[in-house]
Parts: sequence; structure tokens; C-alpha cells
Amino acid sequence: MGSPLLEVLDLRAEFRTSRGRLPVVDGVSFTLDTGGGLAIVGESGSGKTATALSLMRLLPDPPGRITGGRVLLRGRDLLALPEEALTAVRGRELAMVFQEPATALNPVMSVGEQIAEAVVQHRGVARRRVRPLVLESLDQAGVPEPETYLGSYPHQLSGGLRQRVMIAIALACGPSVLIADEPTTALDVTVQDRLLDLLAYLRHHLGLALLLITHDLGVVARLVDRVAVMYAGQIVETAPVAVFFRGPAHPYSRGLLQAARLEAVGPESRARRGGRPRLEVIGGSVPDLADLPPGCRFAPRCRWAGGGGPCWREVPGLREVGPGHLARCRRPGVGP
Amino acid sequence: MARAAGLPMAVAGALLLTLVALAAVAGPWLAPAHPDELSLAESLRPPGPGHPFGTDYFGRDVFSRVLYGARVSLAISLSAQLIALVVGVALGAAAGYFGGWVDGAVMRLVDVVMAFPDLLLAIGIAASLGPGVPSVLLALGLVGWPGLCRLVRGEVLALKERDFIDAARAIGAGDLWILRRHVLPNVAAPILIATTLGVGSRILQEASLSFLGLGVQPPAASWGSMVHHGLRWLSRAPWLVIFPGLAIAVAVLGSNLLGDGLRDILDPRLRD
Amino acid sequence: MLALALRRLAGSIPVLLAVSVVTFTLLYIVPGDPVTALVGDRASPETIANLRRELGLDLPVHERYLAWLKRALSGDLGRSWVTGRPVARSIVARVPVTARLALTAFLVSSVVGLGVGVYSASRHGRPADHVVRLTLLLAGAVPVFVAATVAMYVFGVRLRVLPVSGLGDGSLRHFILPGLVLGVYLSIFQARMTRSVMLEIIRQDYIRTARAKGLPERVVIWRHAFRNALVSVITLLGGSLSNLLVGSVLTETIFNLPGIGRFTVDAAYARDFPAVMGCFLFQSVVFVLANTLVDLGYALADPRVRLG
Repeated sequence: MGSPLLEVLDLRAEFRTSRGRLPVVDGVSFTLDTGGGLAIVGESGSGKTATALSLMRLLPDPPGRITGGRVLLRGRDLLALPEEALTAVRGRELAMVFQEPATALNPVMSVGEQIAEAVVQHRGVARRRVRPLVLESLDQAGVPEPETYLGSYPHQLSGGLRQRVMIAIALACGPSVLIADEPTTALDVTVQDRLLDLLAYLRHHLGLALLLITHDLGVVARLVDRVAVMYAGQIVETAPVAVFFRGPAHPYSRGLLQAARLEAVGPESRARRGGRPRLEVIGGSVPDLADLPPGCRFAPRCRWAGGGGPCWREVPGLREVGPGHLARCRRPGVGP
Repeated sequence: MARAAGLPMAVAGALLLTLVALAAVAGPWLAPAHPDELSLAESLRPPGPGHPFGTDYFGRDVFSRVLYGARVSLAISLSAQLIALVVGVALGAAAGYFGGWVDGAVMRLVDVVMAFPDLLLAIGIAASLGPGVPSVLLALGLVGWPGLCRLVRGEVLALKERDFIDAARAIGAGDLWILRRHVLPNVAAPILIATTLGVGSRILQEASLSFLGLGVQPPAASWGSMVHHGLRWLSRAPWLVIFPGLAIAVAVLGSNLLGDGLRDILDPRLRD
Repeated sequence: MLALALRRLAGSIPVLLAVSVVTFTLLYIVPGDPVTALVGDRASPETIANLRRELGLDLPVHERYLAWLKRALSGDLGRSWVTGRPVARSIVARVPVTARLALTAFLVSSVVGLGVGVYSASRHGRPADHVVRLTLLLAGAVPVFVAATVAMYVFGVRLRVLPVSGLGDGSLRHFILPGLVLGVYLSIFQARMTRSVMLEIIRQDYIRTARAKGLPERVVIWRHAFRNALVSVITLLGGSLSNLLVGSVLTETIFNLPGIGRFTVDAAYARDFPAVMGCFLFQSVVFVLANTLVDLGYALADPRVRLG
């Protein structure tokens, strides 16, 4: 199989705030093969978006700063590149789709312009030759009758169409990796469904590697073949999708999955809560990054940690618990 | 970031203003000469020992005149800002609290005053009433209140939606009581910030009017009128312009620093 | 589009009327009887009575106002008490001087103010940004007339490279120094505004999108951020307009340029009421109309407003 397309090694990033340095990304490692699919799953504040932004070196600075690790794209470390060289990678090799299509598009530029500038930037096409390429990417993103939208401004489009435009921008230069950060969260349920189909289609037909950032386990199985669960800046479990859904090893993952199953049973109650999953099966809340527990970060919410055992004192490492299945938990029942 | 810079800014501003206030209050004891004391033999002396800021055409000591000028400039600017404060807060609070036609009338009045460039309105008033301290006070008070009025109205409108105002009304408190006890203390911080910055604007405007010869009239001298009179001797005695000009800059800088600093410290909307 | 323009213009009519009422009140009612000012205390009662009738002072206030407004609308602003010439003609003769000064200053400030503001924002939190902020803070405290006087001393008196006073042959050379001084003065305000608007915009999601596309930072700043900032900056020009008018009054006075600002100050000094009133009205109307244009420009620059 050779070396992976994208290899992230011990990535670390922090937010510098008045309350100290918060380790938002704390030693994250994963790999993504050509045409592969990985989902990073976690609650808000788990560091999944910060991880995605760090890959692109788009973490807002201040307050964010990447403090360590390597991001190897075809063996080249993106974190070591000078700022100017990044422009050849962003958009061209790594493209990103953001959560809020309403704010992620420039309000004073037409849709056509926003796609065209990426093409001009990366493909060295003259401005007047760019039109067919723009139409092609809109078509790939499933925008019906793309010609009619070239001169439109974002505020004239529906949420679903805006997100398709975002995807068209991402596809315009034929990237090898698409990072999608909660691509459907801000959209209506019916529109969500069609966009997920589109992403699955693009992955299989364009051979695009997909890094999906989501809080919603429900969309994971449709789009990717590996899952990584993040908690408080760390990956706590990673496994092939089938293995994960059959038997997650980490107590946090179990909670997530249980919550997702409850969701599936009562979809109407989900709409009432604005589409956010509820994690009431796991009591408590995400720990404060400025004040992390000394041992396992999940211990305060964990049913198995008990009172004052080793879980509270020692930081657990990732252990192999099955083929391609790692978990950050010292519970004896976990693993072989 | 902004917050961290607030305190040193406010302190620096307060120090500069203290310097100016000291000059205004202790001027008579600090000044080496009486500001109106003529000595034609000493006409247009450059800065040096005996006359740290030089002398003017009549041989008057510029340092002493700058010290006395602080009195005039500060007294006028502070009084004008006080007028603006009282009128602006009263009308703004009334407009925001009562709404309806009161609000409509007050805001139209604000629109009309703001339809004039500030100095132009001041020139019109000086022409109308004749130049001098009363018309300067009226002019600067008039151009100063609309900004405060808008600010206070906006804050009061926002406050009115909050529960504790309803609670006060529910226990039978009267409008004036509610305004004084519940509304105004809650808008004190923005008012303080705007007033501090306003003093700087008044100092600039007084200086501009006096510079145009439409403000303070001789023999009284503010910094602005000193620049006005000094302009005639610019090629021979630039210090006649530079030192009073510097004094204006220090005073304005002081109130801008203090105002901006206070805003960073007090305004919760700017935190983080 | 045209409908929007007409609506905005119509919206400024009440303000213009209010401006005329204030002007009339300020310069014809408050100062009392102008007749004594005109002919002095020792004129015969008959002369005074005649003059009162001639000036329409025997009429009730509202009729006087309407008569005055009617004449003002037809371009008749009365005659100067000092020179005896029609005020309107004097104003028209001075417009080119003020316009040239204002235009020079506006160009300077658009380049310097916007440029410095954008630059400073794009270096947010770095040393260059701090230097710019400190400079703006210090420069903002110096009154324009002091800055103008110092510039005049340095370039005109010491270095003798530029003419310092008056219009001379009317060539552009005479506008360089006043235009630069006024322009730099306006830049301080504009740079500060542009910087804070840009900082707000650089935080927006679509800027991140632009960076994610792989656009060079220069393009992100100017094509994406600045184009959005322009929408807000145009509205801020309204505040700049007031500074421009006020600044040109002071600058014309210092550099002895025969523009409207200088005319206003001279008239106010001489208490030449028809002249002051004319200037006052003219400048206020220009100010209100210019603000209306700014509103309109704002609508044009933002597709969300333009296209609804």
C-alpha cells in the first residue's frame, strides 16, 4: 500500500488565553490513505475542529498556536513549510468545507467569482477561460443549472445551495483530501441527507480522501471507514467503522453510541432540540482545559473509574485492543 | 489583549490630565511672571533661562501664559462638557425610558443638531451672540450633547428589557425613582467613558474656536487664542505657536488615553 | 436603483428644512434687531422705520422665514453688509478653492488613511501594528491648526520649498501643503476606523474560507477583507465629511486660502449676518446632501442592500 497520503503525528496546538494555555489539540495522530475516509467524532470543545484547522494551518492566531507535531502530506511536513508555500497546498491538495455556509461565503462577491479565483490561483488558467471549469465544479457539487447561479450572491441562495457552492469551491482545483467540518449541521434534515449522499458519491467517484469532523455518529457509517473519537483534545479511541459500531472499547465512546441510538429511536425529539445530540447517558460535562484532571481526562464522568483508583492518578496511553483498534483506557475488560 | 492595555493607558492619561490640572490650579504659584506683564524690552525672546518657553511680542512670558491658559481652556471645556452631560443624559434617559413621542421628538432634535458640522454650528453661535466665553460655552454644550443623548438612550432601551426594571415597577416604584436608582447607575460606565472622551473634544473645539478668533477674547487667553496671536510672528518666533499647541495636544491626549483606557477596563462588551 | 436614490434624497428634505429653520433662528432672531447694527444707534427713527419695512422686519416671524426661504431657494442669499455684494455670488466664487482643497485632502486621506488602516489590521498584534496605533494616538491629539502651523513653518519658512500663504497664481502648488496637512489630519480618523473595521472582518468565516482556498495573504486582505470593509468604511466617510468641512475652515484660515471656510470665519468675525447665514446654510446643505450620497454609496457597495 505504500506510505499514507496524509499522516498526522503527535499534533499539538494550544489557545493562549487569560486563563493560561489551553491544550486544545494534545498529541493527535492519525493517517489517511488515498481515497480513504476518517471521521473525527466528539462533542463541541473536544478539539476536533481545532485539529482540522491545524492541518490547514488556519487556526486563528491569536489565540491559537500550533506547538508541535508533524502533518505529512505525501511525506512533506506542512508545519515546516514557510507561509508562502502553503498557498500551493491549501485549496490545491487539501480543501476544506466549513460548518456555516451562511457566513463562510464572502457576501460581496458573486458565486462565480469565488469559485473562479481558486481556479485561477491554482491552475494558472486565464480569467476568461475559467468559466467552463467553474461550471464543472458546480455541476460536480450537484448544483442544478449552474449557469443561473454564476452571478448570484450568497444571500440569494438557500442554505443547501450555499453549502454546495462551498463544496464546488473545494472541488474546483481537484484536491486529494477534503476536510469537511460539520458540513451538514447547519442545514435542514432533508437537505442534510442529500448533501451526505453527495459527499459519499464524491469520495467514491473522484477518489477523494475525506476527513469528516462531526458530533453526529449517525452520519459516520455512510461516509467513512474509520472513526476517531476525541475527548478534551485527545483521541481516546480509533477503530474501523464496523468494529466501532459493533463494540466500542472506551466508556466515552460507548456513551456516545448509546446517545446516538437513543437519537435514532426518537428523531422527532431531536428536531425540537435543534439537531444537537444529547449525552445524558454520560453524566457531567467536558472538562475545563485550563483545569484538567491529573489522570484520565474522562475519569470524572466515567462509571468505571471508581473513587481515587489509578484512573485518577495516571494518564492512560492508547492501547491496541484489537486489529486496528486503539483505546485510551486502562480498564481490564477493554482489549484482548 | 485590549483589556491588558487598558490600565496603563488609563494611568498615562490620568497622569497627563493631572499635569494639566496642576498647571490650571497651581499656575499662579508656578508661573515665574504675571501672564499679562508687559516688557517690550524682552520682546520675542527665544526659549532660554528666565523664559523657558520664550516671550511674545509684548515681552510677556509664554510659560506663564501657557500655565494661565490651562485655567481658561480647562474651565471652559469642563463647563461645556458639564452642560452637554446634563442635557444629553436627561434627554437621552427620557427618550429611552418613555419612548413614544418623547423619544421621537428628542431624536429628531438630535438629528437636526448632528446635521451641522460641529465647528460650523459653533461659528454660527459665536457670530449670532458675539464672540466671548458665554457663546463658546453655549456652542460647545450644544454640539456636545447629542452624542451622549444617543448613547444613554440606547443603553436605557437595552436596560428596559431587563427583569429588574419590571420588578421595581411591580413593587410600585415611580418613573423618576426607577430612572435614578436602577437605570442611571447601570449606564454610569458608558457615560463616564463618553464624558472623559468628550472633554478632549471640547478642549479641541474651544481651541479651534479661539484660534479662529471667535472664542475667548483678549485680555483673557486660552491656548487656542495664543496660537491665533502667535501665528503673526511664526517666521520669527515659532515658540509662540509650538508651546500652546503642545499644551493642547497634551490635554487632548490625556483625556483620549483615559477615555480609551476606561473603555477597555469598564466595557464588558469589549472583553475577550 | 433610481427609486432608492430618490427615496434617500426625499428623506433628507425634513433635515434640510430643519437646518434652514435653525439657520434663520440663529442669525435673524437671536441677535435681535439687525437694523441698529446696520445703521447705528444715531439714525433717525424714520430711517429705521423705512429700513425695517425694506428688510421685512415689520412682518411676523413665520412670514419673514417663508419669504427668506423662498428667496434662498431661488438662490438669493441677500447682500453682504460689509461689501454690499450678493452673498450667493461670493460663495459661488469661493467654491472652486474649497473644492480643490477638499478634493486634494480627500485623495490623500483615502490613500494614506485606508492604506495605513488595512496595513495595521493585517499586522494585528505585531510590532508594526503597535507603532501605527501609537502614532495615530499621538497624532490624533494634535489640533489640525497646530499641525498646519508647524508644517507651514517647516516647509515654508525654514525649507522654503512650498508657498505658505494665499492662492498666488492659483496653481496647484499652493494646494500641496494645505491639502497634505488636511489630508493627513483626515487620515488619522480614517486609518483608525479602517483598522477596527478590518479587524472585525478578518475574524469572519469567509476570510478563513479565502485562506483555505490557498489565496496569498495579499489577495485575502485586499480582495476579500478590504472589499467587505469598504462597505462599512463608506458609512464612516460620513464622519470624515464633518472633519473635512471643519478642517477646511481651519486650514483655509491658516493658509489664507480664499475659500468658503475662510469667508465664513471672516464674516463671523465682522458679524456680517447675511454672509454668515449664507455660508452656514450652504455648507450645512452640502453636508446633509453629502451624507445622503454616502448612504447611497453604502447601498450600492453592498449586494445585500442593492439586490434586496
